[in-house]
Amino acid sequence: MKKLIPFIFLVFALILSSCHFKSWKSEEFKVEFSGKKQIFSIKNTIRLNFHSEPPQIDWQKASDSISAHLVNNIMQGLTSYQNVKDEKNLVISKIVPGLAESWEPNANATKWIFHLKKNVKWTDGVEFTADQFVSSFERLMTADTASEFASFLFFIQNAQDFNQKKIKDFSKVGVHARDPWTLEFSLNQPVSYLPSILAHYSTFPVRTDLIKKYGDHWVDVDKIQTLGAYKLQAWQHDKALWLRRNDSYFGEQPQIENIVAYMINEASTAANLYDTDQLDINDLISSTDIPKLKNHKEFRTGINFTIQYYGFNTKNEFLKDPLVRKAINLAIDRKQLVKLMGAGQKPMNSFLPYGIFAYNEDIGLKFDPALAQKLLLQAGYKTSKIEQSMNGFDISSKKLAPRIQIQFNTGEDNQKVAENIQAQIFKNLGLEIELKSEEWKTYLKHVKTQTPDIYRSGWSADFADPESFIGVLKSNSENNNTKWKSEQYDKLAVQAASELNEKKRLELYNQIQKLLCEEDVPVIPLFSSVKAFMIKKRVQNYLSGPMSSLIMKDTRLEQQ
Amino acid sequence: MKTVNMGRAISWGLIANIISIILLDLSDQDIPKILWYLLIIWGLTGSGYFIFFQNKFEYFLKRLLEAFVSLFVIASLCFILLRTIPGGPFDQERALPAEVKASIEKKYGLDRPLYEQYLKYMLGIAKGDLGESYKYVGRPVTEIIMESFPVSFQMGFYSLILALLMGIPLGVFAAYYHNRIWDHLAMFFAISGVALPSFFVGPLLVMVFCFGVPFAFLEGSLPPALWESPAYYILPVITLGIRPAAIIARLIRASVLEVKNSDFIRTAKAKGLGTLPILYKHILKNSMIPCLSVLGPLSAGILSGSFVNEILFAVPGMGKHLVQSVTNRDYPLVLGLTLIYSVLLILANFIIDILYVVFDPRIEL
Repeated sequence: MKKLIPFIFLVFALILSSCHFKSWKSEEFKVEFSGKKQIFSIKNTIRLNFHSEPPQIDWQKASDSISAHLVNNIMQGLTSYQNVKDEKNLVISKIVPGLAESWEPNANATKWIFHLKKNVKWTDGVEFTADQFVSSFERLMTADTASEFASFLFFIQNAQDFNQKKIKDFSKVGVHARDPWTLEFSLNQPVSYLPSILAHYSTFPVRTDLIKKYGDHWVDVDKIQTLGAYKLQAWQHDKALWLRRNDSYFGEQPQIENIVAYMINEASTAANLYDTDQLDINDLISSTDIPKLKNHKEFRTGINFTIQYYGFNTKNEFLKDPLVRKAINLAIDRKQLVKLMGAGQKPMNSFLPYGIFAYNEDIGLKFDPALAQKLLLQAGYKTSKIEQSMNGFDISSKKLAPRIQIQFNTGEDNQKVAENIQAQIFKNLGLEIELKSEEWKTYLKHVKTQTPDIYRSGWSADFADPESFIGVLKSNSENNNTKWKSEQYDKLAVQAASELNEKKRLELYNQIQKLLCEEDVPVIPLFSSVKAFMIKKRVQNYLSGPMSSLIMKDTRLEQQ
Repeated sequence: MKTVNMGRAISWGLIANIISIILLDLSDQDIPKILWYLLIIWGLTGSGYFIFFQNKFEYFLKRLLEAFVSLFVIASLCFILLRTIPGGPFDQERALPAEVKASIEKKYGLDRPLYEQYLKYMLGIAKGDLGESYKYVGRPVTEIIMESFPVSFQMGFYSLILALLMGIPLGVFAAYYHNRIWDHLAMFFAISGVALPSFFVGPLLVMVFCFGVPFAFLEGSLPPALWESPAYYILPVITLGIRPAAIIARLIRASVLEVKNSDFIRTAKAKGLGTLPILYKHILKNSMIPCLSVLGPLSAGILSGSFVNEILFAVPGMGKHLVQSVTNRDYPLVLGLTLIYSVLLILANFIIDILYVVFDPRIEL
């Protein structure tokens, strides 16, 4: 027996070396899922990266961008986004008909009628009707579903009362099926952006009959029924999602037959896979790689309705004075920040991202160190820097400005931004700033319970409308950690949201932005993000819009 | 007539079984279920033989009891520690409306008093139910472990084999050429292996084997990431295996040097035994003890997955969850993974304790 050992090792070594490792690249993927083997040919499969495992597919409960990527490929709402180039060659996400063919509001936009497309079939052949939409809506609004997004549909008649169990009877809620192909929404107040809310995945219909049958397991790959251009074929946890073209899709059949979405969350790994031709689109790019890739012919950027901002704790002794907050805002040169980030982010002086309705670069406090110093002085504070530049004037009666702290969650980019702002404020205002970074969940807890002097935060649009951002800082918003409350702001925000006339609406948003970013300034808007990605030549007709990306319905694969 | 040594027969059967599984796996074949069943049978007969024929019943019982006590303490401590760190599983950038958060917390029983949650959790463990993940909605923790652990184990197992195959000869080699250039070279490698972190070694290997820097002919010879077929295993396994290989090499070298100068080796030499038999039979066998004592915790660590390695090579293993579940405050998942890791550690130490006896019969269990 002992003589066998060297022999066994020899065989072992032989097998190792005889495996033809050079041939690891194959023309097809063999996917084994729940005992079944499926073959996907690389030629008509687009390879994407969803960054990580989607936490859940149940789109009424999901609330993260990864689940959204998946859901937006396999489902569709009454309306949907289409990415098109506008006259400035900017890719924007336009609202187009989805399950609904057309819609019209009444004169003051409190009643909306949606006409559904006929002959729309779920993947199991069942026809989609308005009743299904109404019963889905009932599930969405039911408190036990615990949907995060239920609250942004509270403008629908009685929806809030139903959600808070004050009304038991769902038929009193303002969503009704007039006939199998006509839906009627009755609202408490005019809401001009209803169509763009209906493009959000939480409002997509679900099959309540299947949910009743399978419970939480209705989202299992073998049970889920969908309406979108693709259907879920296999889900290898932590590894990849496999989607195939849905033959019963009601719209135009997509050209790309299959999608594989890997779950890679390390930028260098994604870059390696892209460079060795195993990914078609790589949208996970580290900001340190941007300068290197910027001139690459496969490099693209698209605008993104995501903003980065710092919030003030307006209850802080020093920061409660709007003059101080203005001074700090004026002391930061956003252009320098944007240059540091390098991917083409847009500097922001107001609270709305570049490209959204009512974005106005003239509103907000522009970089002006001299004015900043003056305002700080006016507020009754001095710093060593101000003393220097105020040579000759007597400012001894002023208090020395205290040290303040900027807190942010640990991250390479957050650190870079914070350090830059720290240096800028010190240079331009002489104000000393301390930086403190914390692990994500600890940070969130602290922002809520012991709000730092200045905290970092970000926001992404839930729907393509300024209301999605303006709503963040309303007095009753859970996301407003500045402790700043303004009745006038709340009133204007409601007014703007319900205004139908675009011109008047624009005027209202200008007023709101001026109030927010020129008068009270509870926040320091920094910049709006961009989506930077690399895309292989064989992928055609792919546009990354601010509201939707990695949707493959209209994309084509060129055969080489 | 020579009696058949049953213990030896069983261990060779087990080894043959493992090797056939490895060979099938490395040649990208499906492993027939029968081999896994056989493996279980070998394991059971092995432990049966050990317990009943070697009269180790009492010892076994004692270890089992110890294991349960340790697991209980670990689970309790972990439970308490998790609740004391700030931030909860449902805190996120977009703050949840209060009612929604309350309703989710109610669903998972987080609104109950702490002792009640603790009791419920402990009862669950006793029944083999580790609960459902908070982050990955609808996925039981046991399912997540069942799916990710085999991958981590596979990667770790190959790394461990690689570490032993590389580390032991290297250590012996270095000791044999003590204080000569070969010794220094081998130890240079060993020290680098210990000192270089895998997030350096990994990308370095990727650069060489995937992008052909600086050896152009190697370009594209291996895939840079993912976990599909044996070719995909090579880089992660090497990256993970180099460090333990270096640790083993250094330990083996030290103890071989010690044993080399003992009396029985001089006797063996005087009797005219060849160098190789002396080295591998007499010296190595007696030098394995220090190496074995680190091998226990080392293998538990490697087999349960490495965070850096799994992120770097996009391996769908358990190491990633070990770190991310804490970041997500996914209580059930953290607890489940900690328990699995503890079980692995206890098991590895147990096996190592038995191996002590094999290598040094003077040791009494």
